Amino acid sequence: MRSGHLALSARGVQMQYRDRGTGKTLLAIENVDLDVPDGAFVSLLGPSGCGKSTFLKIVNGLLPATSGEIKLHRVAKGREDAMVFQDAALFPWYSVLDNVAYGLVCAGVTRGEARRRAAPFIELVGLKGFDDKYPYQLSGGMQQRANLARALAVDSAILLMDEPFAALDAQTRELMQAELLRIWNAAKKTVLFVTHQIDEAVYLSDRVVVMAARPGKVIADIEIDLPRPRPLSVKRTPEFAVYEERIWRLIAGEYEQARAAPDAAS
Amino acid sequence: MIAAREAPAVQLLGRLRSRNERVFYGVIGFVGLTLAWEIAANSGLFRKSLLSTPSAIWKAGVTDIGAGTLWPHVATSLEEFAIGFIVSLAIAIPLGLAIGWFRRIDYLLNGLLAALNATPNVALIPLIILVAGIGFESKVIVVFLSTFFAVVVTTFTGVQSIARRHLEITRSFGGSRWLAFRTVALPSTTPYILSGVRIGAGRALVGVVSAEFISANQGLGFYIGFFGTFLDTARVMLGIVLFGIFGVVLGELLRVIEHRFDVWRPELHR
Amino acid sequence: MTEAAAFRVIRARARRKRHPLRRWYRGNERAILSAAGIVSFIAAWQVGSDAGLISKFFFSSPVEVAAAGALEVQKARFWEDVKISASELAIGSLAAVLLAVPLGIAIGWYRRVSLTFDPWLNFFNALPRVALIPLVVLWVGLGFEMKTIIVFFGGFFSIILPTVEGVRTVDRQLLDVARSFRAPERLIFTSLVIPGTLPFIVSGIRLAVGRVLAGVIIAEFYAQTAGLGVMIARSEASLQSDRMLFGVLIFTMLGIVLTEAVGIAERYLQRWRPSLDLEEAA
Repeated sequence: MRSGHLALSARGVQMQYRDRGTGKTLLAIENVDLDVPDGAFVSLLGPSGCGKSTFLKIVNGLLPATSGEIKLHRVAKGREDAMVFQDAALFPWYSVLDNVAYGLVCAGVTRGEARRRAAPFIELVGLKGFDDKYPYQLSGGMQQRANLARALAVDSAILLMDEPFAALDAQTRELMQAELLRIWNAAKKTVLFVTHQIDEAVYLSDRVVVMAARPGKVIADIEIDLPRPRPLSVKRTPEFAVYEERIWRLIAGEYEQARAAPDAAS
Repeated sequence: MIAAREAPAVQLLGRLRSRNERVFYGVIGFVGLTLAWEIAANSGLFRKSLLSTPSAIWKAGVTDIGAGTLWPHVATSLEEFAIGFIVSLAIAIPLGLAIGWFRRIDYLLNGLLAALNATPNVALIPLIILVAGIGFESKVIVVFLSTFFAVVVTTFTGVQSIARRHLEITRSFGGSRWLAFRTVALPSTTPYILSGVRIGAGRALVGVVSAEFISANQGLGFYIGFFGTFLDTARVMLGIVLFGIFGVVLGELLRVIEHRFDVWRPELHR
Repeated sequence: MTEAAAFRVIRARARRKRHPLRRWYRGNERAILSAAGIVSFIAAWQVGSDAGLISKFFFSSPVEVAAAGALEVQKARFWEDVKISASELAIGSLAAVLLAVPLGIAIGWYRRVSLTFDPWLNFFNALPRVALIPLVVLWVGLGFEMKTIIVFFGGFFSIILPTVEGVRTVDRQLLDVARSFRAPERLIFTSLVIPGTLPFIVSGIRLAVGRVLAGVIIAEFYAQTAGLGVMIARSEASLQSDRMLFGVLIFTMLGIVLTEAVGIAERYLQRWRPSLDLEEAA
């Protein structure tokens, strides 16, 4: 699966904001280095405000970083990366098929051709027969399947996933996690997955990169050495619990530190 | 069984009611009040010169249509409305879209347009008559202006309220600004445009009536005012009813168009 | 393969230090440009009419309108007109609100009653109410009463329709909550129906603002007895476009002030409703 090269390599990425009210400069991301090998599934895990979603947007080109550099391995044609957004990211005025085809339309493909190429991805994510439905007619889980299909359809090397299951109920979320692994396996993508859920990160990933907040920085990079394919029952194994416990301690430790010195960050 | 003993007519009524409650009660309300009006006026409950009676209005209508004296007025008003309204939409919608899409133009013009929109357009009728005379043109201009500001303002408000998240999607997949305009701005603004068209249509109708009241020698507004001075209540009411019918038909037409464009919206429509 | 060919490189864009004046402009761009738009409109009007590009006879000029206004406010007759128009507006609108709201709530609460009234309410809502002027003249003549009634009609139907709709669409789930707690009918009304309908009522009032203003103007045009509308019409007849535009300007101001006032009331009444902006920020 892995060809050995890096799909993504970030060096010294920093993000500053100027607070409109106070005029002060805030550091959202401090000096993040990150390497993602081709074909790997890497999660960025951290509390809200750690800049993990911001980092993803920088990679995607939606936000410019204030310093640092990110390299994405070039692909033959099309975009290197495609984003799977959080909730409510489908156009309500387009059918499922048109939504899934939208990324291709953005890349300059004609509408008819885009629809033709989008169709198999609808099937891949398990939405066959829902092509003509509008988003409001879909459940939250189905909407996220369509969201995923849109990103898959542009055939990018990297998928950037921004807490895609955060708004789903617990059961649907587990189901979608297993589905994602199935699709990842079938589509052979590199995935950079952002989440604040420890079990989600551990279950899905080859590596979990733990971030801390204020300012956002990487505090640990943990290899998840659980065999694949991973059925959902992996979550009930002692090995899994060890990983969860270890990451939980890291995050809790950061939290305690921040509480002890509330002004340290500013 | 009680149902079995009910008269067939009652059964039919019951079935009709359950099938479409809204229409059933609507028809009852319409027929009931019309009858009550006729009976009350004929039994001397109020003077006929105040409201006339449904039958007298009907008779006046049949007479004037037969004599060919009603249609020219209706045609004039319709024409004034149609030309002013359509030309106005053709300019106002693209302009509103452009204003909303370019942030700086929006900032520059929205205060001015909001002020013009807040001006009761009918206050400008004397000025328009001064400039364009008392004929057909002045009414078309009144209709045009009445529609124009309502549509421009609602349209650019619509563009402003596009969800930023939706624009981000286009950008994320590398789509151009122009693509974002076509695929995001246009569809998400359509409900706003249509509600602007609805408001504009109402105002344009007011504009037609008012301008024809104030100075005209043709048109349905003129017809109402003319027979008002002759104390012919039946014809005054006939004109009012025709305006009302026109308003209702126009409203229904817009509702059909709204439904056509709103298939993706889950909310129920009013 | 060189590195440039193998990778797409996303470089940082450093925040530039901006001049404080420029930063101030960026922070207030909307207000500055909006003011600039209005100012340049007035300036263009003035310059255009001075240069003879815009007919002074028809459109006057800002300076002349201001001068006409300054002259006008010294006349007792003007204030008499203001008083009359204001009273017509105040009495007609107040009566419209006081009658339309309770009636609308009552009609809306009884589903079948509301369906029975539906065609009539829709008819009157679709009808340009100013068309009723000649009829009302037949009832009460050309005076104060007629104009007040027209104002009333303008407001009444704009408010009652959304009120009925608001009551009809009261949250069923909350109604179940209230009923499961055995809330008395009175409490259901005050705690649920009224607050749920309020936004609809206010949006009706917002629509009514334009309609009552249009109503008063046209009724005064029609009757030619007294009021600001008459002042506008007389100015036209005597070809004083500056005075006429001053009259129009008063209505513009009134329109802006009333719309703003309703907007403020709306925001206040809806403060418990999360705004779209907040959802975006989350």
